[in-house]
Amino acid sequence: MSKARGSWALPASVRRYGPVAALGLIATWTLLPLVWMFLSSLKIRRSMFEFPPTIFFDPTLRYYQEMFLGSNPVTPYLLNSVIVALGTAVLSVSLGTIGGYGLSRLDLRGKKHLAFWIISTRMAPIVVVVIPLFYIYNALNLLNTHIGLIIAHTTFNLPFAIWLMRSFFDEVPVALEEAALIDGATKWEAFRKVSLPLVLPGMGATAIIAIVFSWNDFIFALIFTSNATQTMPVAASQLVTQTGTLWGRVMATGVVILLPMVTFGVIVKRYLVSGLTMGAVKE
Amino acid sequence: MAQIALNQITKTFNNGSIVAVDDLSLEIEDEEFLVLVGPSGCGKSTTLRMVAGLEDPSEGDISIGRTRVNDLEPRERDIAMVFQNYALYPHMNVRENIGFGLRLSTDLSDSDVEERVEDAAELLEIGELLDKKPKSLSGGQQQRVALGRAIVRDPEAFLFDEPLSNLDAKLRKQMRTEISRIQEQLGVTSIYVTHDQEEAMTMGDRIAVMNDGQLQQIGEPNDVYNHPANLFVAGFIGSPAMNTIEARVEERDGQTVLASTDDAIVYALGDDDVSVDVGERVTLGVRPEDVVLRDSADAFETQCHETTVDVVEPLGSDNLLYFRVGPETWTARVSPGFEPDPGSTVHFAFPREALYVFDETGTTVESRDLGHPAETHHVAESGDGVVNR
Repeated sequence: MSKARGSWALPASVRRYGPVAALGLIATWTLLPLVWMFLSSLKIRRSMFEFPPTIFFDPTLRYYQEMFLGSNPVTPYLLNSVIVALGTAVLSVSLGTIGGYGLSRLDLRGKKHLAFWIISTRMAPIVVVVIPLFYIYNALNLLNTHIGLIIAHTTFNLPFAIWLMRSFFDEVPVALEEAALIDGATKWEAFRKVSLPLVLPGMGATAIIAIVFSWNDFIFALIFTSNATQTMPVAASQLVTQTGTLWGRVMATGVVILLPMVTFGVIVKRYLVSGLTMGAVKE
Repeated sequence: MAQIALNQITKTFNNGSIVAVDDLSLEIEDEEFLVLVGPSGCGKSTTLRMVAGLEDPSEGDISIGRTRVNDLEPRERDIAMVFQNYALYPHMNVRENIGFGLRLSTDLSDSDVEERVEDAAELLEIGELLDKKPKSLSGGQQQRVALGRAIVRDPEAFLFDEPLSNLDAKLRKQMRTEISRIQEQLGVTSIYVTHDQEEAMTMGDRIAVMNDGQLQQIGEPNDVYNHPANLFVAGFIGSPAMNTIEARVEERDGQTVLASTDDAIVYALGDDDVSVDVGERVTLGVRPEDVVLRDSADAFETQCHETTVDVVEPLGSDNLLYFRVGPETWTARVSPGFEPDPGSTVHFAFPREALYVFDETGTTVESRDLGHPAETHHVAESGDGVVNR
C-alpha cells in the first residue's frame, strides 16, 4: 500500500516546500501593494515613481504631518468613520441577535423561506438601491447625517448578521434554556443568562464583519454624506483633484485607513476564530 | 412534597395528525418513585415534558400537589428536572450551575445559597469539583452535577428524562443505585422516564408501561413482570424477552390443547379451568427461566418437545440457550453445567404454572402462578379477565 502510494506521490521536497511556496506567493500578491503603499507614504514625490523602486531611502513624515496638522486635517473624517462603524456594529449585532434567535427558536411555518428571503435581500448590488434610498433619505432628512449612513450600512449588514447569529443559536441546545426555565427563569432570563452568554463569540464575529463592511464602504458614504459627515474612504478619494493627484497624501491616507483594521484584526483574531469554529458549546 | 395526577391527558402534534399521548391517566403518590417505561416514541418523554410545563397538553388536566398546573409556567411548578444530556450551563462552573436555580427562584442570601450548594455537593460527593467548568468533567461527574442542580432546590417533584442513557454500563448501574438512594433519603415524589426495562424494574416503586401513547399497565415491578396485562408488556418487560408462539385451542384425544400452526408445540392444558374456548386463536408464552431443557425425553415426567440447539451463550452465572420452535427462536436460561453442542437435539418442557396465554387481541388471559397471586392494576382497555390460577 505505502509502496504503491510512494510511486505517484510528489517528491518529499515538493511536499515539504510546495505549500510554503504557494502560501508565500499568495502572501506576496496580497502584501506587496500594501508594503509599496506604506513605503511610498514615506517618500518624497520624485522618488515615489523611481524604477526600480528604492527600498532604502531617507524617510519623511511630511504627508502624515500635512494630513493631521495641515489646512484640511483628516481627523474629523476619521472620527466620522469610527462613529459610523461602531454605530453599525451595535445596531447590526443587536438586531441580528434578536432576529437570529427568533429564526432559530421559533416553530414557524415556512421558516426556511423566510430565512432565504432575508438573505436574498443581500444579493442586490449596492448601486441598485442607492438611488431609491437617496430619494427616501432626502424626504426623511437623513442625508448628511451619521444615523443615515449607519442605517444604510445596517440594512446591508443585517441579513448576514441574522444568518450568522441564527447558526450560533442553533448550536446552543434548547435543553439548556428548558433547564433554565425549570430552574426558575423567565423566558427572558433564560435567553439573557443562558443563551446570550454562549453566543458572545458569535456576536463578536458579527460585529467584526459589520465594522469591516462599514469601515470600507465607499458608495453609500460618497452619495449620502457631504463634508461634515464624510468618512475616510471618501476623504481619500477627494485627494484626486482637478490639478492633479496628491499621491503622497493618498498613500498616507491609505495607511491610516488600513492601520486600525489591521490592529483590530490582530487583537480579535483568536476571538474571531473561536467564534467562527464554535466548539464552545457541545451537545 | 406532593402527589402528581394526570387526568385524561392527550397530546397531539401537527394539528392532530400525530397523537403522542392518548388519554393518559396516572396518579403518582407522595414520595413515590414512578418509572415511565416504553420503547422510543411511545410518548413517555412527552408526558414528562407536559408535567414539567415544557409542552402543553392538548386535552386533560395535570395537577401537582392538588393544584392544577396546566396554565402555570415551568418556574411556577416547583419541580426539578434532570435531562438526558444533563443540560449543564457550559459558561458557568459547577458551583454556579447548582446555585443558578436558587438565585433565580428564591431570595436567599449569597451565603445561604453557597451553603446549600455545598450541602448538595457533599451529598453527591462532588465537593472538589465546585470550581470546575462542565466541559472538564467526565460524563458521570456531569450527571452528578445535574442531580445536584435538581436536589439543591428542594422541589415538590423530581423529573428524570433518561438521565443514565449516556453513561457506560458500569457507571449506569452505579448511578442507578445512587439515584434510588438519594430519592429515598430526600423522599421527593419522582417520575423517571427510561426505555430500559431493567432500569425500570430495579428503580421503580411502581412502573408504568407505555406504548403508542397509551398506558399499557401500571403496577409494582414484580407484578408487572409476573402478570403482564398484555402481550406487549409481556414482551417488553424481562430480558431475555418472553418466548411466544401463535397457537390455536384444539380438542385432541379428549383433551384441550394449545397447538402451534405446525404442531411445533402441542401443549395439553389438563383438566384445569381455562378461560379460552376451543377454536380460539391465542398466543402462548413462557419466560426463558421457566423453560426446562434435557438431553433426552426420558428425563421428563411431563409432556415435552424435541428441538435443535441454535446457539449457546455462556453468561458465567448461567447459560442462554437459543433453539427453534416452529417459526420462532426461543431462549432458555439454564444452569451453566448444561451446555449442549449447537445443532444437537434436546428436549424442552415448561410447567403448567409457568404458562402465559394471550387472546387474539393480545390481552392476557392467563399468567404464571408463583403461588402468591398479587394485586395488580391493569389499565389497558381490555385488561380485565386475567386468570391467576
